Amino acid sequence: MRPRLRTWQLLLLPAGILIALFYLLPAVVNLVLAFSDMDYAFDYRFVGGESLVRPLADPMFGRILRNTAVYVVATLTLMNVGFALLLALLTTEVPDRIGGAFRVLWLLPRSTPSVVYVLMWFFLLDPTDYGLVNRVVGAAGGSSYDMLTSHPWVVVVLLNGCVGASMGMVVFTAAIKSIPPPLLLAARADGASAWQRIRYVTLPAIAWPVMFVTVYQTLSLLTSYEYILLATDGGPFYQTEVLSLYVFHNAIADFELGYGAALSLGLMAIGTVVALVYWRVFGLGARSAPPRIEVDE
Amino acid sequence: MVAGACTSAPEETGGVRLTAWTIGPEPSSYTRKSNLVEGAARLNRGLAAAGSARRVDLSVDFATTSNDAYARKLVFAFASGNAPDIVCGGHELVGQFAAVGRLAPLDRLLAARPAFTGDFFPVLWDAVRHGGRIYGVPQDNEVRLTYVRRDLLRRMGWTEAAVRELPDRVAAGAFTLDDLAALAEQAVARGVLRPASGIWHRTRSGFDWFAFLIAYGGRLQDPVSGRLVVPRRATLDTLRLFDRLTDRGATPAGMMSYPDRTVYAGFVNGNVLAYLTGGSWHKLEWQGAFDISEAEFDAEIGTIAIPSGRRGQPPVSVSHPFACMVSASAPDVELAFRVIERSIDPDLDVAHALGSSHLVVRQSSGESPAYRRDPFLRRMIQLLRFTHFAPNHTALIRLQRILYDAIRGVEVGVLSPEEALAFVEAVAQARLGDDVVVE
Repeated sequence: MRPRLRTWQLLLLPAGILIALFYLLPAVVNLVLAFSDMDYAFDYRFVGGESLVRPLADPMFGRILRNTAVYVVATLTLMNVGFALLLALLTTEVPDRIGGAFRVLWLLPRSTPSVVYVLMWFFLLDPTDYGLVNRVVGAAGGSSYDMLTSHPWVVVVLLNGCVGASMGMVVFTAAIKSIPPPLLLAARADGASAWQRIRYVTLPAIAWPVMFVTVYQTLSLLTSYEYILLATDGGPFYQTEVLSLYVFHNAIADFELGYGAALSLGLMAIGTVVALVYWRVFGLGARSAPPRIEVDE
Repeated sequence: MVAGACTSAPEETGGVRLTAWTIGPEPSSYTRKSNLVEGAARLNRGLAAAGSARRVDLSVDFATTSNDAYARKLVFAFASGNAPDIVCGGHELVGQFAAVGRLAPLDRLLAARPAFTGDFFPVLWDAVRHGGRIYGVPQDNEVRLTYVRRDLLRRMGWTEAAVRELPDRVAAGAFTLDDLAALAEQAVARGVLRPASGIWHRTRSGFDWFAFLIAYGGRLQDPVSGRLVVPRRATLDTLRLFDRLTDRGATPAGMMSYPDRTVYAGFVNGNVLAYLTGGSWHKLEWQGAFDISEAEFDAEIGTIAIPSGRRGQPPVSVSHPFACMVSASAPDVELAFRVIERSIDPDLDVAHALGSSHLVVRQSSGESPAYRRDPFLRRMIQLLRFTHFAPNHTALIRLQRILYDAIRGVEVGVLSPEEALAFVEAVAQARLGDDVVVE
């Protein structure tokens, strides 16, 4: 008699197939490629660990690691968590209709195609008199300013953050709205100021979502390069070239597929280490409470 | 399809379905597609007239994406077995794809047509040669040059005679890159132009940047070993030129981050003295985009070769011939070749050149009255005597990018010319290994 799949196995099957196809298989292919010197000819030649140690001899690799750290930390703290938290706090302090409308506005960048979104930024920041910002500055008597060259990180962080902050804003808003109203009412009755209510009631109550968004966005930022590619292409002169973009440039622009795979293996290793550090520092294991309902088959 | 059934295998009778990819990216080069379509139609008519039942069913894709994106698409198409049968693009594709056996050699077919082969400007065959064999048929040529605003020169006090003599002074090596830089600085200093509006240039990587290495006396490839060359002295001089241009306010530090449209508008609207890295195709592109008449263009915009970096030495131009190649996996290599052959009939060659500001590739096309009457194209042909081709080397694109990065680093002020040279040497050797030699 043929063994029949149990219900839980059937339920897990679609997710299992997706994970195998889109997570495990690419990781295995990447691992295999990382031990080759495959280029645009697509001929596989095993070179052992040669590609893996190549970053050590790459004059730009140290700079790219530093850039990656700057990008992730700045975008995460200032925008994806910091600004998202500010948006959530402010829009839940005002009447719901106004707060809701404001949050919808902040979701617009996320629903705009990336290329269109970046073109809008170019329209704003064009370094000549054609740029909207420079037109305003010019009308006020100032001279044109080239933000993309003089402060590329500011542009990259803002450009990414205005999209990234919306996710945290939604999650934090939901968490704030789920705080039992009596807690906030009691704080008000005790004479707590707005800041004190946020500091002693709201923030402790939403600590878990904040940690989740921090972990999720860190890993997401480590692998994201789309907006940087479109806005600065890593420039000027490697100033905004992050590791994921460097992988793209090597693997896809220069077709150094073996080296690109080795670099992305490094990226995966960094992501894993960061996730483990977060697990430890945030005590995520302890915070993951066991289920309160047991289901017997 | 003109007639006959479609099959994907070569046959003595019936139709052969062929695919072709070509690229502008500028829309004015659409004749690259229409000439292939017309070439297939002419071939089919010729086959019918000769009583043959063979026919070609050709579908052509015309790309308007960047050349880099087009090359990437081709790499994946070849790797996945979905490459078109006819591949048209910059001649550097020959070096890239012939080296790994993706292209069919055409020597035998060309040798059987001496009149056709001998009608091309001979130097163009060098651009489509790899490892001693020919893998493509040139489709058009162009020259890279410097555009200068004549109206601004006049405003600076130049006489009409001096304005008109400038191309000859450049050709004689009497007007160098240093002179052009000084002129731009002077224009800014005297208030003729706004700061950083003296000399603008292209903003992306490309073979154009190597023109300056040649202008300063460097060479790009060792003819004996075939390895690419980083000429240390010429590279440093090039980096010092761009350092000077930005440092003294002739060129904006952030030039490389300017959108193309902004760059072109700045020059064409008369706000910038010189566009350093222009191409012959820009004339029609700008006329179309900015609505400039022939008379206005001639009165206001002049063309010169890229001046030499060394006084008394000839100036420089670089050319990037466009060629059509046949995939090694094409169902019928000979028929694909014959489509290409007819697509470059002299009348189609001329029509494409006139319609897109490119240069003809056949000598008989050059004799066409319409072509000879075009004063702009006549000037472009004269620049061909200074031209250089990109080496057909698989690592060229990577070296291009390294040089581009170094120039960008100097312009934004994060590298001195000496540091940028050290960067070029270190990164070229780390990434290109034995493919490059620093001398």
